[in-house]
Amino acid sequence: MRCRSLSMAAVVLSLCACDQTSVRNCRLEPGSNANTWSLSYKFDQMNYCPLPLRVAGEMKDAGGVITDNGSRDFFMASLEMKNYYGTSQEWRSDIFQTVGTNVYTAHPVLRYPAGTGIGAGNYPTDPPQAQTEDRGYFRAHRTSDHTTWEQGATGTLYVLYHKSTASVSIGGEDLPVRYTSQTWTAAGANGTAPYSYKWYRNGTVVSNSSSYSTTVDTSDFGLRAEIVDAHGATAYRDIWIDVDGIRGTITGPDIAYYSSGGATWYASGRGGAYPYVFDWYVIDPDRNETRWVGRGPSWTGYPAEGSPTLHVKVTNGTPEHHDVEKPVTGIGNGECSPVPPALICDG
Amino acid sequence: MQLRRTAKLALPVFLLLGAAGCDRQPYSAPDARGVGDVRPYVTGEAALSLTSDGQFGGAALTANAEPDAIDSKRAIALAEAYIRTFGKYFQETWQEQRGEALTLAKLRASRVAFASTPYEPLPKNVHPGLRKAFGSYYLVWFTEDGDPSLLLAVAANNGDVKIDSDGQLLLPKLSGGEFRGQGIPRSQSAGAARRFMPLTPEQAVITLGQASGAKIREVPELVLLEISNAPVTAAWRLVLDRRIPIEGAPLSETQELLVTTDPTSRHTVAAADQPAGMNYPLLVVDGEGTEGRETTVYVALRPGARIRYEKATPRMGGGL
Repeated sequence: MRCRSLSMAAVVLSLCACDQTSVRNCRLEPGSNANTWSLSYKFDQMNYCPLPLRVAGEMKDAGGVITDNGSRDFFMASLEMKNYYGTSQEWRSDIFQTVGTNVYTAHPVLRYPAGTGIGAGNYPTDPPQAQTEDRGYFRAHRTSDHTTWEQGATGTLYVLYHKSTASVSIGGEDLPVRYTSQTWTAAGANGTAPYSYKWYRNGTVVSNSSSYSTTVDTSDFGLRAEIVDAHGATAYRDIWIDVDGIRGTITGPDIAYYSSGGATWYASGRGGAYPYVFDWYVIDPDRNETRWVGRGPSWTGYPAEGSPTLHVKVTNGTPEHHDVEKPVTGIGNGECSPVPPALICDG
Repeated sequence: MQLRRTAKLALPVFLLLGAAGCDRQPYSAPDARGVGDVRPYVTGEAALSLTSDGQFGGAALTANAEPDAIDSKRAIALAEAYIRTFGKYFQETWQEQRGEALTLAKLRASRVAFASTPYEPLPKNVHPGLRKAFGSYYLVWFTEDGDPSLLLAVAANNGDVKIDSDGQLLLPKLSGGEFRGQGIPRSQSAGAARRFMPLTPEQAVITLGQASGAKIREVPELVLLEISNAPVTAAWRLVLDRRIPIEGAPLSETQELLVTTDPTSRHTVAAADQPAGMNYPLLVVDGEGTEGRETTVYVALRPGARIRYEKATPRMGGGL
């Protein structure tokens, strides 16, 4: 919670609205209209929060209690949030009311999709990305028959953000062979159809459809698929295209028993050119050694007692290679491997 | 603020309705304060409206709803969605008012009644939030573990409030005044109880019946007070079977009293001089997206409506 006044204006900032923030007991300040006092706040998440403020469609709540500390100084309270594009605005108006006491309160609330608010950029020439803040304000409207101010009013504001559920997945080869034609496809989900798509390659827009096709050369590059759903919710996913890249995988048990003669592990590769060569190593931290144990798509043996790591180096005759590791547990002599119940192991 | 639950509320356990018309639930035992059966204190239409459980039925308590109002089932659904969506902003306030911790997820709608506004509808160009505030409300009682814990007013003109697929409220762009919650004090000494201790219609009837010796003739009707009072302060308007003597008011006797939520002024009577209307400083909007302007608007009272009341103390006696 922060409550900070700027010297140049009667403004109270609420920063870091990642989860829930509050502005408490911030006095309403006189506005330009003699009958209006204001408590302004802005949301400035970009530098503070993991959730980007400008993810359109991300629903945001705001609500709170404004208390007139005087004797009915105020009649109405407003809570406003203006649309960045100027096409609409959220505007709540509530009356200060009492419940049997001389304390009058108003309880404005609002809920609206992100991507609104007055941007720091120049409307309408700047794109929404130019926005850096979301801004709204409370106003308390003075009763016209009051001639003197008493204790003013204070506001308690809470703001809560809800992350959009929209997501996007990418299909296509991330390890293409050079000079081949490739197509990547994107699919939006968990939002509201229809989705619009945009592809970026190293930050430059290369497609406005659900797919992007090209013939890759020898350079690696980054792809981003971005979607916008029917309600303006956005999501993106990044994929790194590693031309001629190869990847290896190790499968097999996590535990090897000396009493069983160890175990068998398998290696596989994808991407780049065939055939693959798999070199197997055992990294034994207890002995502080790495030893080559074999070559081929599988290896059978007892790696070591303790917590050794299986290491496979995948190559395909090009400068490209990939190293993949699998930690395992080695159970030494004197301990038993699982056996059928009918058998007895005396160690 | 987390407050430790210290005692069960000494109010009658409200019956879970869930929707209008679901008012045939088993009647619970009289509450711990010794408030007994309502039946000895009613006659005529009021007696006929009692369910077999000895309570005023939900249909009777919402029979005064205006034709263009949302129905009571929708009011309950909106009240529940309000708690889901915005309850987190007011939980602390409600707890302070109740004098006890509230668990929002455990709140259950238990009862609903319609509270009529004394005001005529405002002009169409007045900010919609203010038009709702001057309109009628449903009052929805919520219980937690059977204890009345929260009273939530739901604007009767909330036809434009939606609930999305996540159960969250979607409010119109120009709005306000849709809801107003107040924690129900868990005891006479808790939270805001000194000036706010709402009664059930049965409690209101018994309270007045015992104080006056008269019987309540008409179904209790919730009426909203002057606009500066939150809608949760709506009072039970009770019509007796005879005029009774009263003290503390210019009138010496009356046949109609309000039973209020204020324990320090539990009974009131309508003042003799009632205005035909009042001027209020209101926001006027000329269209969506336009700046509003504040202007004085004359708000007329409905025929026969009252906004000025005087404290009165009912006495035993009187005759037909």
